[in-house]
Amino acid sequence: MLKKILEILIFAITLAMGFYFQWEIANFVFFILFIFLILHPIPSRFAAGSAIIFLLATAFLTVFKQNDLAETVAIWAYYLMIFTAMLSFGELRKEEEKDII
Amino acid sequence: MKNNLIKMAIFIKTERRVFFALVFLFLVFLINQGLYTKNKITSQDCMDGKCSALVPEKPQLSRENSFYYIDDLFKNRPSGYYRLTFQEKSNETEKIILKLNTYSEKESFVGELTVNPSGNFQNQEIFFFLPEGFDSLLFAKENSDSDGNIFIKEAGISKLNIESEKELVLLKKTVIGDTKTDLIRESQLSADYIYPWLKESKTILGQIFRSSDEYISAVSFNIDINKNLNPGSRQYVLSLRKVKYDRENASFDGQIIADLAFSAASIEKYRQNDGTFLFPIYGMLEKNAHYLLSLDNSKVSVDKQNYLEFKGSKNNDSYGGGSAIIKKEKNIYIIDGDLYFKIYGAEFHQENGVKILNGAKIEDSGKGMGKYSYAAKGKFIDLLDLEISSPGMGFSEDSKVITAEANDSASFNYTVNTIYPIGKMNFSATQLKAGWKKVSVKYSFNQENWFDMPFSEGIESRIDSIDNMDNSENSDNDSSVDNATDISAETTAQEMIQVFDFDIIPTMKEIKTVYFKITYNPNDESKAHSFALKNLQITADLKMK
Repeated sequence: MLKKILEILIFAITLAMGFYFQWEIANFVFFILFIFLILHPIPSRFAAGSAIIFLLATAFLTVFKQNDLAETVAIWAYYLMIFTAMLSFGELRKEEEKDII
Repeated sequence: MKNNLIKMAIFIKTERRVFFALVFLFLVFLINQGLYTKNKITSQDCMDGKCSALVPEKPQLSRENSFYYIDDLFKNRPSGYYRLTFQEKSNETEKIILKLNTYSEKESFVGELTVNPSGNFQNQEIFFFLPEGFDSLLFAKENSDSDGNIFIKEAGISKLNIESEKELVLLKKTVIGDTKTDLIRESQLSADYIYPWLKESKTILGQIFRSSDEYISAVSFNIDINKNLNPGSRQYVLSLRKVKYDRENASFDGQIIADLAFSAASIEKYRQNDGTFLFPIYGMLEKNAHYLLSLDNSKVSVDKQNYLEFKGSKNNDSYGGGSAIIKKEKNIYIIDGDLYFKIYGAEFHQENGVKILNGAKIEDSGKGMGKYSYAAKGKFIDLLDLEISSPGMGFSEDSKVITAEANDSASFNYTVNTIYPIGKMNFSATQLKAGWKKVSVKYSFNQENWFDMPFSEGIESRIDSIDNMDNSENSDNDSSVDNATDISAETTAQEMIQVFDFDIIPTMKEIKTVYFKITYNPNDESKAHSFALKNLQITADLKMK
């Protein structure tokens, strides 16, 4: 019960911070996603796959001289790589704990 | 107490993820609130040169330094009569003594000159005889203890075609083109109201003005900067365009005439000593027509910590010739009041009713012979020497040359009037970069019959290529927006560049004017989209009888 309340509180704080700092929508979405993945991790391969897709999109956009969009997509790719690293770290910890048991 | 701590420790251990999320939130909050705190730089904070990017010039002659040498000015120069020309600016009336000098401290008197206080540089000319064996020219203050600060620049000598001092009096005074750009044509100087509209993304904020000159050379705005530690490199775009305006409605009339892009990080280089910003923007205007100077933040990630605030007046009557406007999406809204602004015009040097290019020299060498010389300065003011300005043309701060987009009938034209008939004229310049559109130079004596100028090809040196390499779309450097540098130029260090060095000999007598049209070669099928020339020089032998 306490965990549920804390999770709701965390999402409320996340929303409040987004409005307080007036983040752009994309940054805000990634921030919520980051918090969500801390609380409810998914397999890291999904985040890694998304990062690769965004990196490829960056290359295509650069070729077609859409530099501003390419820059934005590259930043998203970077966010996803951080997610991947974070999730991989969690998976490693889990495996280590399993091995110990 | 101890029990509570133990409970907390157990909770952290069992609900690590909740704990990490809370810690993460806290860190993000600290970073955004602390490290990225809004940092406001106001124009008041920057008054009296406190933030000015201008490096103060050091005077060549002052109380601390009463001698100024120009070394090797006479190296390999034959003995004979010479003309010395230079520009000086002084804050007090001072007497300067000029001497020829050698490394072995041998001196020979050239002349003396009284300089008067002036805010602008004044052209000076002195004739002298150069004996054998001198290397340098020495400027000295007569009174070394005086407080006068004297600035000296653009010193140059030219050999005269005379044999005796008697012939000196027959020489005509040298004409030096001097374009003035410090002339305020339109202004609104009240700055007691803040326009915060650029806080919102995809917004254009600007000022409509009525042109009272045929040229604009710069605009000054009073802007406060709100920026965090990482304002980003994306660029605001300052643009000039004609508008239809009737006090209640405004709409664009034609394309952008000129533009300038800068980021929140690089805007400081336009800061003036009074705390305002002076943006160089050149365009030809129609007198009494309405124009809009506006700043577009569409490409910048603005938020409440990172935006520009224009200052101005809320009073609608503060400027009668226009109004402040904002543009959101496709709509232009006229808003109450006027921005603080100063529009600078340009005044060209005229001699016998003809325009003399800035810095161009027309010198009498004696015995009916004369010389004309002009060289691009590598400064923004070079744009003002053009006869025609087309959209997409601008001065590149990176390359220090005029660049233009290779589309439609884009060209930059010079009209060179030498006042006296031309014996022979030489045009020399080189293509800015291999990989850019090939340049086509045409010349004419009447603007009807145009002749193609031939060129040779030279290898561009690798160092030059690296030095000049830029990609304005990604760099933090400012540039004319439409003159995006070709990425392909980065890989073409070994390619050939065009070298123009051509003598024009008029077949008709009394030709005093030559027209040059610099455009791109339409047969060049490369993907490059810009063209430019560097090291542009025009010289001529004149008949001054």
